[in-house]
Amino acid sequence: MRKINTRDFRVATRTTSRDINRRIALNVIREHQPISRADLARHLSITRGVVSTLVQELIDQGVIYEGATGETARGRKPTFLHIRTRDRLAIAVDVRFSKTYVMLCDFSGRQLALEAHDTIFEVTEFIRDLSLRIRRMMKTHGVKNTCEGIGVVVPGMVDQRTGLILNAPALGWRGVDIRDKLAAATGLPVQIENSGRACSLAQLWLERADASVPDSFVFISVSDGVGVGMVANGELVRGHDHIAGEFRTHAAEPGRPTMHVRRFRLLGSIHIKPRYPLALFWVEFVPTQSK
Amino acid sequence: MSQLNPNSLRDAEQSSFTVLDLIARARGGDAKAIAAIQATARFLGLGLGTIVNIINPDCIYLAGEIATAWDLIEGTVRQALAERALTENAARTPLHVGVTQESFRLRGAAALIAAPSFAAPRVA
Repeated sequence: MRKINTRDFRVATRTTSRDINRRIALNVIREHQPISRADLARHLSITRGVVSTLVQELIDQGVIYEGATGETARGRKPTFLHIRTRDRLAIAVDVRFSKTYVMLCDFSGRQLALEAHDTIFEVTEFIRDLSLRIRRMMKTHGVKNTCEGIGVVVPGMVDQRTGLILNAPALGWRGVDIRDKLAAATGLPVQIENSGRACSLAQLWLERADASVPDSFVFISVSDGVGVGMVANGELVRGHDHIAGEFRTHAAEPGRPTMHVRRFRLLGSIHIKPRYPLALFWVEFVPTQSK
Repeated sequence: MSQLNPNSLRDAEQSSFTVLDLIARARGGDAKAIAAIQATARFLGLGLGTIVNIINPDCIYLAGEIATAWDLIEGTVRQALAERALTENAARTPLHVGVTQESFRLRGAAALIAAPSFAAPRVA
């Protein structure tokens, strides 16, 4: 049970119950598509008439569409409902130390175009360059008016309320605004998030709906850094200041509070660079005194 | 906070040696590479143990280049996880490995735009 926050709450209106039922219907369609109205009514345990109204609203909103007509032994032939993903498009941007990747994809994450270029660390130049690339990509693929937004992931902590990148050591960005500036430069809504967290959102929302992704899970990527996303009760855990799950700073051994990284270098001896704490790979971990 | 100095990593000399190179070395029998991978696997397992104790997830998804070396590190990871986990059930938390495609972060970026149209409305 969730305690009601008396400083931040939503009062129910005349449309609230229908809004909720419509969203439930949308998710049931997503999980069982293609699905007929009759089957949807059975899944929701509500009448055909109410389902027809909800479905019409979803069609009007452009989030589902009616597909092929099905066969039935008797009565009217049902039309099957599908989620609209293939013609709803987004730009995905992955900013990493070495490269910045820009992808045009649909709402199921299917790739339509992908480009990579060297990451620019100077923020103003980064925005200018990236917005040019995005506009060019949309023009090339003729999707200037159908792209619904830009999602940006960065290796660092992001405050969801302000969109501010709090600290991205790999990029040298601290207290940097990308979201609003990129939105202004491209005219599209921009969402920005820590890359590990965004990956857990993809696991939750873009996996095949019948793949039964649980309500609570942890997503961890280990490559040249560690990305962590924690999902509890179907929701991303962000924490009070949006730094929950910063795995790099956890103590790996009891009594050894801080770990430093040794970089492992080929073609010579192991080269020690005690730089950032507990990023896992090509590395050994050397306990040091906590500061 | 000194260790999170934003310029530290950027100024660090970048090696062209990648995680995949390291895994290839380990498969070739390079002792240093094997040691590095096993050390990483141990700390990964200990880290997973801590996370499991904190939020007790249904399962863990593991992605990134390290997933391609899962056959080398699974034993070490699971043992370290079991050492840290508070109960036997926690130690047996399923680990799903295999999100190895390079674009998984980009899919995450796409989810930022796609997911809100499916999410539950906030009520009360």
